[in-house]
Amino acid sequence: MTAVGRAILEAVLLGTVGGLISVQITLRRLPFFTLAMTHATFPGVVLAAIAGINLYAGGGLFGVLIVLGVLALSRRPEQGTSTAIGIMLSAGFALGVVLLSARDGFSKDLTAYTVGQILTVGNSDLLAVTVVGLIVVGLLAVAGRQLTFRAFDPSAYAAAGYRPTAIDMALLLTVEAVIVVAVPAVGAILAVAVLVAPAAIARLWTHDITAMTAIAVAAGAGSGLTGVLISTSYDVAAGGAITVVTGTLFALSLAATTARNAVTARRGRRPAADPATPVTAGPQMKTVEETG
Amino acid sequence: MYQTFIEPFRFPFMARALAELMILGALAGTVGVLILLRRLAFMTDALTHTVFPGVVIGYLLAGEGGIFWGALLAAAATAGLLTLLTRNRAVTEDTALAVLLTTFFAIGVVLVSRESGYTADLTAFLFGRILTVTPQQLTETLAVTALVIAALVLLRRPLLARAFDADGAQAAGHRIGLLDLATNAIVALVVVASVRAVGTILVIALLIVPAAAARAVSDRIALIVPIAAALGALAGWAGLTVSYDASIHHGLRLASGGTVVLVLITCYLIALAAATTRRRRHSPHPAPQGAP
Repeated sequence: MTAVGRAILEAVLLGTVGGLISVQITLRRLPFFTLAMTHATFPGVVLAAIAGINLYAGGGLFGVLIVLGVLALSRRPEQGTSTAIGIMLSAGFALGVVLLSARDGFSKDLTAYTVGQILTVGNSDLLAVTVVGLIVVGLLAVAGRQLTFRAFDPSAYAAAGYRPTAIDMALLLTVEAVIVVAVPAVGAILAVAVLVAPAAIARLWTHDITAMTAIAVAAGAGSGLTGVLISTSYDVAAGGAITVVTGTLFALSLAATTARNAVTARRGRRPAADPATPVTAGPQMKTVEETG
Repeated sequence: MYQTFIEPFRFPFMARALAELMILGALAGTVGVLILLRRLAFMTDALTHTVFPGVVIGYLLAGEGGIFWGALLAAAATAGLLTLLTRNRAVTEDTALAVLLTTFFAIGVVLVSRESGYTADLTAFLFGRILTVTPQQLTETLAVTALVIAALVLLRRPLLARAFDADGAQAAGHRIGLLDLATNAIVALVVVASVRAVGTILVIALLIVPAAAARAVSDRIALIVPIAAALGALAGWAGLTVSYDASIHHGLRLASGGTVVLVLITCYLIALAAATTRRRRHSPHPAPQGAP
């Protein structure tokens, strides 16, 4: 397979995996947490590169430490979660940068880690994305309903006898696994786009979880493919191109759904507020209440 | 002591770097208290990234002089788009921020990746060029500082009222929308003024960490603000000294911006530890969770 072929395959796989997990990330309001984890995975990757161990193992291990750090800091009453995340984010990124700056070829390495190098992915990277993808599919198949239940009604979830800590840990670790495979391809800063934007696009069109997941996967895979094609034909950074495509798709969806809602409201078929009702008040909420 | 902490700054370029860093540290520490009270850490981080395309476009159109205005325009666009996006109730604020952050940053990356000195430009943006600060830049920084401090002094009562009790502030006749706009403008101005000299990574840390550390040791605004400002300024000094000392006397190149952040994080951890021991000494029983 050529480099471009591998890059396209990687981008599509990553878009699919990101699209799948992004629904859970937006439902649980985790975008800022995800951003912090992407920045914090970065020093792990640098340390692994310096120590000469597997980049994925190093980044993943460090990311887990950061998850524990945020959880510990946000338990302090006077430190809000958002401050705790902000602190871990800047600490992680600064540590990565200082470690990198002590080495030669600093600027080039830094660019690779912050905006990614999808054109240099090898077969092992493709294998890693596939394995993580299977983990995500496994998690959603086994615990998808539980995750949604937990997202919509935490107290009913606990009352029903489930263990919130265990499922939270499983979700956060899976998110971290996706980040670890996304960073080499699209970079620490732009990985958030892969992990959040697909669900943001899908959420505009529907509030049915299954349909949201399908749209998110299509949006993620589609922008991956288009982004790499644009990047190779116009010679611009691939990670940047993928993200700009995702952002454009979001802007178009926002415009289209706003127009659609305005039209339906004028025809008076249903009240204007309905399509814009937050997902927590949607039909899923009712099912949760019935079961809980 | 003299040799380590005073000697390096006898070079004019080091003295200017120190002055710029200390002014920005004090300014960001002060504004950071506002960010902490209003829980705006994620918005601040988004702003530090969304000014990037402005910096790139400003530089491409008008050279060094265009950077400030480009960044300012991008910051204004961010604030405007964020307000617009969150009006749609299907888009939560954190999702809107994540999408804006990555899309804007990606536009910057795509634009800059067309240039030949791509990696060096990106590095300069992430780290700033603190050692090449000109006397004119110092004057500009002082002007922004005076403006922001004046705004904070004038608006301190309504801003505090808004932070602690939004409904009460509205009932008291304060215009919430205008106050939020003023807050966003203040944060944006600090980000824009500092990004060229100290880079994104350091800006976000300066805006979040000193205020959080000050908050850990005190819960009185009258004490938190001066502690945060002093900590921001002193960490700038210490970080610059460590990074200079390491590169001159130990042959170890450490990025100055990253070193300042690590000094700040160390101060934060010390403050947390001090607060914990003090609380233990004052009350034999641990404070209840969720206590103010």
